[in-house]
Amino acid sequence: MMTSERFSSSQETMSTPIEPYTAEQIRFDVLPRSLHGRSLTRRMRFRLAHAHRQQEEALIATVPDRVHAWAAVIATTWTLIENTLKLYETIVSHIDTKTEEGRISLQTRFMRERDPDEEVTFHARAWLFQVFDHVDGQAFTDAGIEVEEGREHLRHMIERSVAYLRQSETTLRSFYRRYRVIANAWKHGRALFSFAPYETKSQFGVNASDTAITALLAKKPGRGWPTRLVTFVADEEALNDVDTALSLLDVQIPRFELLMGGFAASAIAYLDYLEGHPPPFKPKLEFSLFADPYSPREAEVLAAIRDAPLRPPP
Amino acid sequence: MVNSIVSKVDADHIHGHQKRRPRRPLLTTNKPTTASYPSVVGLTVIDIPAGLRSHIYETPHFRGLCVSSWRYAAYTMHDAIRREYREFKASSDQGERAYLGWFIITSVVEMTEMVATAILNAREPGRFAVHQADNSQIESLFTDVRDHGIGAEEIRSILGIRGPRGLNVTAIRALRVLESVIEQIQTVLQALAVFWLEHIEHTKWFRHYPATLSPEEAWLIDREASEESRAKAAELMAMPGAIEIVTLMKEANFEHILLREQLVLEAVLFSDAATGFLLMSLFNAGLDPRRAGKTTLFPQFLRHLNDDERAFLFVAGNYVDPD
Repeated sequence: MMTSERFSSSQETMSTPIEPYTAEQIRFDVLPRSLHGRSLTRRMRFRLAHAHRQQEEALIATVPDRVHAWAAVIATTWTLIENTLKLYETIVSHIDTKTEEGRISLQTRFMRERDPDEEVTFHARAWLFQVFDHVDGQAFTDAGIEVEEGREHLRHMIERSVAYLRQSETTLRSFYRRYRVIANAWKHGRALFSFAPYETKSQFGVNASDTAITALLAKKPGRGWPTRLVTFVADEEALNDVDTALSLLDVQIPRFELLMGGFAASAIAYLDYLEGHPPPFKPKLEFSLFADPYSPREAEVLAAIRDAPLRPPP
Repeated sequence: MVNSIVSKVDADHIHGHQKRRPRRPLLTTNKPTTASYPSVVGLTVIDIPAGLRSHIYETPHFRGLCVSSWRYAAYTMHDAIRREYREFKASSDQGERAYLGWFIITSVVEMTEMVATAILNAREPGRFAVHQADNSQIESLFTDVRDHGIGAEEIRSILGIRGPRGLNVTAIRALRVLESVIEQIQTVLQALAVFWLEHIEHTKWFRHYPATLSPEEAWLIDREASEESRAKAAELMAMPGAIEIVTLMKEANFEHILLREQLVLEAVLFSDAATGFLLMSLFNAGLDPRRAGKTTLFPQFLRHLNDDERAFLFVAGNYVDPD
């Protein structure tokens, strides 16, 4: 199981961004996006718990319920992956989620192929790794680490984190593509039928089944003849696919919730500050790395910057 | 391995190399030999032979296989909704209750889509054979059902409900009671249509991008929100069973939606009614030879009857209980 390192920054840095936000910008741009991000990740946390509960129920389900129980797990996991990929896109592309157009645009953007240049920075931007470029050098010096060495270790950890996140996203996207037909049929009136097709060189047919379900695929749903049959069986491979996807989501969703929650609290506090009502507390922003295992020296670097001021990217 | 359907087609036909106009393939009920039956694993994609696509639905056994699948889908969905409702009732975390509440509503919207498919299928079997209709087709159907209802004759036809036989006093009394059952089903279908139309948009945001605001968050953004609007939100949250107010950002304003325990319970009851409708259509479709010649009436549509009326239907009217 992948674990991650978390870091906190203080509210002080939020009050001194590179180009200070105006109250108007906070109110009509930053705040809606932060609050939507917080709401999204909270509901994703409940959806993740739900997927795990459905998985537990599916593991003990018996025929003929079993295949339907696993289809339910697949559908929930698939939806959660969609939510996660949309969150990436929202952060990286600064999607304006307060408008309907912005939210609708996600529907076509979240699975788009990225060009190679963008690929390099995509995950770093999704998790705001830019903040680590702005760690105060004094934090390293105080811990007896040369500033350059500290920054070099950070760069390696970010590279490993990005590699992990890229691999993770590839796996999630693969799950999303693989089970798209089943999840779509599931959510559209459970159009999954209890039979399995077969074909040989001379025969094509279908058999009733207690263990397989089949979706009929037409070029235009509801408006044309079916051209393909996609059959799902809850075999070991499918169960592993679910397990892998949920493990990856287990790592990221709680971290995203902390990050988005911190941003929303900071945005509210900063707005109060700009309007002459300094908040009585300093909200924390929680940043994460995904680079374990860490070497002893890296662990020292991480300890050195754990509570150092970090500057959130503009 | 029952109800097998076999299509004997040319190998060229299956693989798309049609050198001559293929003979129209026939679907028969021959059971394949074990040797010719490769087992299905994981996720398998099979092209339907081109010559078979346009008339695959015309095969009664294929249609029977598809339609009878609703039995499993309806049962498992109904069970899942009941299970989630128990979780919802047991939870003391308002966030979790809100998630489960919206999940149940979403599931019931999806279930009413099965009902829509059953109605469309009965109306135009050639066009809506056994697969799902798209949302625009469902919206059109449910708008019509909401505004005009569904005629008694069509209900009888979809659900395979036969009238009592004979012209004697017993038959006439049974007919009157049966008519009230049909009226009950008409009312339930209208309510299901309204439920779908009211909640389909909620289903979309909940499923695809469940990011919303609370009213307090909306007012942080819109300081100009009127006192009236704030008072209305407070009034909504003070309603019995209020769980959360979901605020959606629209073009220039906010839309507040109250999730109440009563709405979740209502959704569960609708899932019960939708299950009854789907299973009744299957039980009376003649697929099960043990039920041939009998009309099964589901309890979901008999609750308005008193004990005497119910007993009369089952004893004198010769109707049967699903059990």
